[in-house]
Amino acid sequence: MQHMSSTVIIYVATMTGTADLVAEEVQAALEDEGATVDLLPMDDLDAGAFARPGLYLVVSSTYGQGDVPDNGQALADALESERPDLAHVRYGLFALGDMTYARTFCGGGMTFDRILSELGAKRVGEPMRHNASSGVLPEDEAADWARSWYESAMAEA
Amino acid sequence: MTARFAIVGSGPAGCYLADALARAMNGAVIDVFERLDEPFGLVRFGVAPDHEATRAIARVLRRPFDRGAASLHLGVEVGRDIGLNALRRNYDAVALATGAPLDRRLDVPGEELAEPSGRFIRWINGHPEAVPPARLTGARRAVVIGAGNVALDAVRLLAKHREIDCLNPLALERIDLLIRAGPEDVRFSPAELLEIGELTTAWPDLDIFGDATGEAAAVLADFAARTPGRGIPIRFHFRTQATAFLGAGRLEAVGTDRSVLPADLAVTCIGYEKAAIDGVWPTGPEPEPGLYAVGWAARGPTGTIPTNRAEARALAQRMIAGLEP
Repeated sequence: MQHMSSTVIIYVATMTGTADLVAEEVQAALEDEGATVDLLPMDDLDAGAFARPGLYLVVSSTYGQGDVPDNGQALADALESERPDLAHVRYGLFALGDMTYARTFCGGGMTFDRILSELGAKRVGEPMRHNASSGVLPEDEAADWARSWYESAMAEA
Repeated sequence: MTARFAIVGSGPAGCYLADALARAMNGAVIDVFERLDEPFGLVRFGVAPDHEATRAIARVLRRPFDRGAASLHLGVEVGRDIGLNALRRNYDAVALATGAPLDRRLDVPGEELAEPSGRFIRWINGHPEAVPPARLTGARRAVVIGAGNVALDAVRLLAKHREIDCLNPLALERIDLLIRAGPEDVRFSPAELLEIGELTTAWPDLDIFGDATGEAAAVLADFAARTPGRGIPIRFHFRTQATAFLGAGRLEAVGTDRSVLPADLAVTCIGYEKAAIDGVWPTGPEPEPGLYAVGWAARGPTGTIPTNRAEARALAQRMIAGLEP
């Protein structure tokens, strides 16, 4: 069976490195599906991060009171203040949170979801919201989720 | 030439540094030396056993070793099995990630009758050098001293003592929490305070207090507005200092600047201190040229686990920049 090849750009916001583990599992799964994957921490990104048309995946944990991790704060701020038109962007979201703090559950990831959709980007599928108190490690759910997300993205394309 | 790095200590700071060095410099030799036979330091022995999500960070810490990007040498104590100077001769750069392993003391009479928090939590976590508390079986009253999250950990674990094997012999009926600060100055995180409010075996017992602001104070105000709960009362004593631990041979009471509280067990949660490594006191990111420090060893016992990750990534850049050409 011939796969349509595609590039996926993964941006990671993390405090402890857990979201990195998720992103690496996703990368491996998507590469198995034939995708070309660029995985980047958000640290040095600016409002031009989504300038290239294509498929993006945001993997973000949540910190403090539902906040974006420190290394993603500058990107979130830049997108909010410069408000680039992202109509050419399709994206997925893997958000990490803890239902122990229900009020702010997955707040970091959902902040990116809100900003991206406000700027015209179109989300593929529902946001994945992992609960740290669920007894399942997020990286163990990542590969299966990524494969089905990628399938949806390819079907829509 | 392949760059060679040694890291002393395999807690969060040491492991994050190993990972950061490996990512920043492909092919570097990175050796992490751990005194104990088990790695991950505070994440293994200092995080409360019921904080499973935080303990699960161990799998992030193990990653550079699983990938083969760094080597972990367990049961090797620098200063005992290998000298720090020998290590410095054998590596291009050495980083101390030895944390703050010593319990700070209150310096009040009878303190030897109290359990310092580091020792107490290490014992609960099965540390190989653990010292059990002098008196556990049948202990009915516990006093916890401190205004930070470690004090809340101690309170919470005592409140849940029936669920924790080593604490099961306790028969607690009351927990007194002595807080030197007022409600406006506590260093409790709102999340840890909320956990106290959600205990099914105990309830926060505190009076209405003034108009303190801030998120922790808001949680405390909510506690104060509640009706008495079921189980063990956790009595919050603000602006109260322990002045003495009283008892002949074993703890019988804790004296404060306000009263004397009967107590069978007291846990002091007032902070930690660094220790010298083979005669060198770690301080700052570069205590001596070519000798680095990271985590609590560098900045003292403040900040959270993610603080170490950010700091380790910055230090990795500095260590690489400092390599001799």
